[in-house]
Amino acid sequence: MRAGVAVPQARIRALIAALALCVCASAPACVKAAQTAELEASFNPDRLGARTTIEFGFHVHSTNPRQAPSPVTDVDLHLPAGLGLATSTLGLANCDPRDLIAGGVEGCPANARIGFGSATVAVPSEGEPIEEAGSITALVGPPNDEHLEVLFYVEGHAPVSAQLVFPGRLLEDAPPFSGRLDTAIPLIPTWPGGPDVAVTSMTSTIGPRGLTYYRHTNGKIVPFHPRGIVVPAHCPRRGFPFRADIAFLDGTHQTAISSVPCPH
Amino acid sequence: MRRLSIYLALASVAALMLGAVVAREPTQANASVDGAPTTTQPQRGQDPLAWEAREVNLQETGHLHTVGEPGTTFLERGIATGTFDCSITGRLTIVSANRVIATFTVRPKGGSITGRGAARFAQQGANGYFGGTISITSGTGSYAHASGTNIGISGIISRETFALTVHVHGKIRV
Repeated sequence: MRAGVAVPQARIRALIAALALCVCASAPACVKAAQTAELEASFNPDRLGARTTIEFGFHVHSTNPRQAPSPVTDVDLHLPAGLGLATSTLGLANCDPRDLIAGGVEGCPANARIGFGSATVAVPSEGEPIEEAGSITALVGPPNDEHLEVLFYVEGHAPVSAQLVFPGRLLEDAPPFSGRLDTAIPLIPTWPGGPDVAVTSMTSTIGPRGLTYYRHTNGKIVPFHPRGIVVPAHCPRRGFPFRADIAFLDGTHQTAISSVPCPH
Repeated sequence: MRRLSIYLALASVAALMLGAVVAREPTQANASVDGAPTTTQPQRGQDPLAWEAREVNLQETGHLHTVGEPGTTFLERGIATGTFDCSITGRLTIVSANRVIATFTVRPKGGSITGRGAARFAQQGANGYFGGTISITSGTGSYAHASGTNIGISGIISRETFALTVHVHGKIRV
């Protein structure tokens, strides 16, 4: 029998319960999410060992259809092991975000483009939120330490004309992933002092599909198609896993998972 | 007669000392060799002191080109210049966003030396840069006993042609 002060079991349980309440009150994970998230991913073409274009996208839904979801502030996309930009010839040039903001996509070298996509935002209004669609161009940004920087340039046209840059960084990850593309989504105010626009969906490619690069050969500019990312020759048992960790302005987080099935 | 005995004793001591110096000579000669190693290697079964490993200051630069279609692994082949002027093959496997496993084999006259290790990788525009350390994992022929750790490697890979330039530097024992 150990010597010491005996603490009644009921008091310990009460203490644990009180501590749990305190932790829940301060941790965002305990906040009830007001939105859900979905992730989709695919390869085009979808063949083992082939050079491919990765297609991915996430969709956010408000649990209250009459209310826009809380604005997304960060998307951390985990990519399956074996998929690396280094195996491709994508992103042979770098794009400076200042040039991108000043001159749009044309302000950056064509060889910095690595994909295309689209985004939808919900603009809060008195009734149901108004949706606005925009186009996305993914480009390789300037070197950032040893991490590859990916810039998502978003152009909205109607009802509001806006150009935005979502900066992402390709970071180390643990198996079964090879890397994660951590993209910050800046807050987009509707009007000074008004609510923020919420990104409700974003789809993009990373791959050579639809891209043309240029090289100088014997004093001439020669167009060529960059090589895509190599799909590993061996498929994991449950397919190639993707995961998105999405953070919202209201402090909640959602994780969405998807996988590209093994091709037959 | 007594003086002769003293002379003989001194001569014996001198002969013994000289013998010891001669016996150590190969070891001293091989102890710290900088630059290209000699091609004549001591044979197994000779004086064990002659088998003592030589330390070679390895400074090799390889220019390699890709062999076949690169995937997650790049197979590379080329020529190395420096300590050994010889052929070199390399294998670079990308394991994650910023990490590669590198294996290099140099084939100097009389054998081969293989080293393997991990390196950090960073992509900057048209080039990929890597740097890390390798250890000698095996050797053949005259280099069957080659060993070494913490050998530095660094290099650049062209992301357009996958041509590779690698620098290997450090001390190895052969």
